[in-house]
Amino acid sequence: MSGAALNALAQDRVKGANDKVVLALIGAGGRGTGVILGMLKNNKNVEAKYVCDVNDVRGREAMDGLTKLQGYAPKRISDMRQIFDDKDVDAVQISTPEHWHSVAAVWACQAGKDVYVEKCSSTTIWEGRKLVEAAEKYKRIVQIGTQNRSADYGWSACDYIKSGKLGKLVMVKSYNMLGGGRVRRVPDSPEIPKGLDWDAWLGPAPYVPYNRGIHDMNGRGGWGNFWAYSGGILSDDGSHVIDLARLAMGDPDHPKSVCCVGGNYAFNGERETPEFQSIVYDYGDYVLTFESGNATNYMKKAGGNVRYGKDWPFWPQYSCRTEIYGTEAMMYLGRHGCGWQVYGPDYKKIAEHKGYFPDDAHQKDFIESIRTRKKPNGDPLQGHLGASLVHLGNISYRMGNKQLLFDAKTERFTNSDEANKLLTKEYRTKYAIPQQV
Amino acid sequence: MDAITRRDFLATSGKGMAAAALSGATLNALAQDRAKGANDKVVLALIGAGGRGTQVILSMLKVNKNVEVKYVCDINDKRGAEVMAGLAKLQDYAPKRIKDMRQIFEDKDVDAVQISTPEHWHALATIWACQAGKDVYVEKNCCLTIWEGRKLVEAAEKYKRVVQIGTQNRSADYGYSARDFIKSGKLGKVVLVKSYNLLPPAGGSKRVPDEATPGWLDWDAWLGPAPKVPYNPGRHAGWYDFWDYSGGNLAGDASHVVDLARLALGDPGHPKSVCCVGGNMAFKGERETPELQSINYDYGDFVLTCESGNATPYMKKAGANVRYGKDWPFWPQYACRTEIYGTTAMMYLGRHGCGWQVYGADYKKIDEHKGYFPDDAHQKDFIESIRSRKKPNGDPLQGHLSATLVHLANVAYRVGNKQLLFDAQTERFTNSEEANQLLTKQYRPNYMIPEKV
Repeated sequence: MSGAALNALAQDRVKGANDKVVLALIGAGGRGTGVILGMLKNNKNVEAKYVCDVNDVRGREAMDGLTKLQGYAPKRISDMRQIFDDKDVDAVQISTPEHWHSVAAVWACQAGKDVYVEKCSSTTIWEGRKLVEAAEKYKRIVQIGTQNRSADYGWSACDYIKSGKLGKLVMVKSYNMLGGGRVRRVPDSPEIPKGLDWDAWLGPAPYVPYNRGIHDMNGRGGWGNFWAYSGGILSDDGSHVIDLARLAMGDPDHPKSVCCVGGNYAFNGERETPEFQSIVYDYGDYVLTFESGNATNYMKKAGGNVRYGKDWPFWPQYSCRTEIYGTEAMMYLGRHGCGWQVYGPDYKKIAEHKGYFPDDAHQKDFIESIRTRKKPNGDPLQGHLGASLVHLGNISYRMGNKQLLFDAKTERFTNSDEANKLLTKEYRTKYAIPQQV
Repeated sequence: MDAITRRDFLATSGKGMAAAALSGATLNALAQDRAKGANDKVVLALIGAGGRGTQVILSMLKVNKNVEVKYVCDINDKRGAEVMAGLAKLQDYAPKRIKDMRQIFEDKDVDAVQISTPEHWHALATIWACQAGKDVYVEKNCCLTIWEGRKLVEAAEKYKRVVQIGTQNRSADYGYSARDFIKSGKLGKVVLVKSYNLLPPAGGSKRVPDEATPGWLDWDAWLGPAPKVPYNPGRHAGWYDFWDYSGGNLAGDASHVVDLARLALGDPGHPKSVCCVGGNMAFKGERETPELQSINYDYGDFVLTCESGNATPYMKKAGANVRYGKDWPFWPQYACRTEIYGTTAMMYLGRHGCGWQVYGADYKKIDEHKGYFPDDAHQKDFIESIRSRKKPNGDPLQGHLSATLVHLANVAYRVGNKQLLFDAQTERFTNSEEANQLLTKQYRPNYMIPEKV
């Protein structure tokens, strides 16, 4: 990419509060569709000029919805590079599978576009750092889809902890205990489905024959089970929990070490990303633990009554809770509208802050950031630090459930060369992220 | 024969028990191991007359028939009045109040000893007792190192002694019914077991200066196998803060929790690895044993975690209404719970009378088994085991395997919050020579446990 040249053309000037913002959607699946429509609904004078997906079957709902909201139909394209070449476009929304996140986000930055990119924003630690560098170098607004950073409860939890009312923080326990079942491999298909640019779907990932176990024309597909495309459920959903926990902890730097014990010991399935994993991170003066998996079908995410209503989750069986133990009191913290409650002795409630699902707020913040050039909630550095906890846990698992010591400064392991190899990955030439973004 | 042995024993006692230990086989030959009748007299001796020791020995008499205590041994003159008075009332004669446990081992009237000393004496006193042909009740944690625990197992086996560890939950029915429930598959496949021992602040935050040894205390004997150091009131009162005497709160209380968890899991062997992250991160105190530690153990097809410490005053142990009554603990703030996550349901399990409850989706209670505090049952089992020669609940092997979880974590902490890979067969670490050094410890010459017990 002639990124620097393109960047020179980018229009970074501060816009007026109601100036038009032109978006483009890359990845028109369920989440992508929901978010882009939200972008228009929650903000004034925002349009989407493109809907891009390598799968022809997708995008109808987004196209219809956008047409209704903005009075004209976006262009339905399948090559994201068309977007980067169009100087009308201010920003892109990247809602692809994970293996495309960083590559597309870096390309967008190089092309002078602002970026909303879904979590987990990277598939490796190196890639995450490159995204941070690209956002900085090209002075782009890059917002990670960690929407809890646009809710007030994370910040108030952070303030509460900082105030010392929990006492000294000793232990933070995050959970992402989701349901699931046995995953089986299926044979490669002799043909690529009509309407799919499989090579483009694979993008930076190694070329492999089309496989229905990886990709589904009409559904989400099983790419979350493979390292080439994902960090598994730890990155897909755990990333939210751990990002909110980090926020409450005051956004600490990398931990000193990670130790993950995990495996496919729930269903003996054939997935690469583990069915279950239990992780310990050493932060020096407190410990963070994280239990995540697709193994416990009786644990529940928060329902609509919690996300949008006044109900609290039932903490003991709430899949995605974080427990924060101080020397004087404990806090339950929940994402996506839960909020937090603090309990002292005899389960006496000391304080609480109920939240509301913050997707709207995050989308408002993104557009406002584009217009004002302020740092968005969910900025690339915090996205990278949060995503690193996911990657650290996964590399520790992939090394055979081994503890890894991590040097925060160099972002390298000090006790395993083999683990250092997983700090990055091989990219197909056309899709390589350069060392110098 | 008796005289010779006695003379032998006395002759060696000057040089210390290391030498005496060698004559253990001889002593054992004299031991009377035959099964007794259900009501035959059992003569006990108490070693360590602190609060817990006093309570247990009195109960040994109260809950069993025809049990007597011939000796109360403590190297602290201030202790023992309560137990002497209590025993005198229960058995119509006063036990002998002595200071040297070796007197007990010499007395063939004594069938069994109850060892309620600080932890650093547990394994050594137990092995001496086994060598002398005595049966043993020994408090948890039964050993200070993994090697020591193995020696205790070997001694019990070699001398055919009944050795019961004070892990009384093994005499309650809820641990076994939890095991049966899990085995039946009703939780689905177990993926995660989380044990907790989140206790209130305790232990010394500040070191105190050494002092002259008080006249009422035989400090040298109190130290026993531990290195000789000047008398220090902080060490004496707060021995669980120091590695020389204890495995800390993890040994003192979490040992119960993980022992019950192991029982419910069907008593698995050693885990493949341990990783501990801990420190004095709560109060920055000056104790050696950490204020808080977070541990994971890799069992290959599930993971066990344990969080233990003295940092969280709002977490509560079970009260009497739970231990002796029908109330359940309030699980979210119950300090000593174990959560067992299967693929289809989850179990809360609690020690010391709690029992267990199983919940499915929407917190629907699927099954439960309320328990009662099992000290009495454990004491009945001990005396019954002495009489019948059956294997007691809380046998040395399970005691050793459970205690090993404590030691593994402490060693991982002591080498700098590291993960250690453990070979179950050799009971050695495969990735750290530094850690292997902590599999055992130095003993003072008079208090050695020999390689061959």
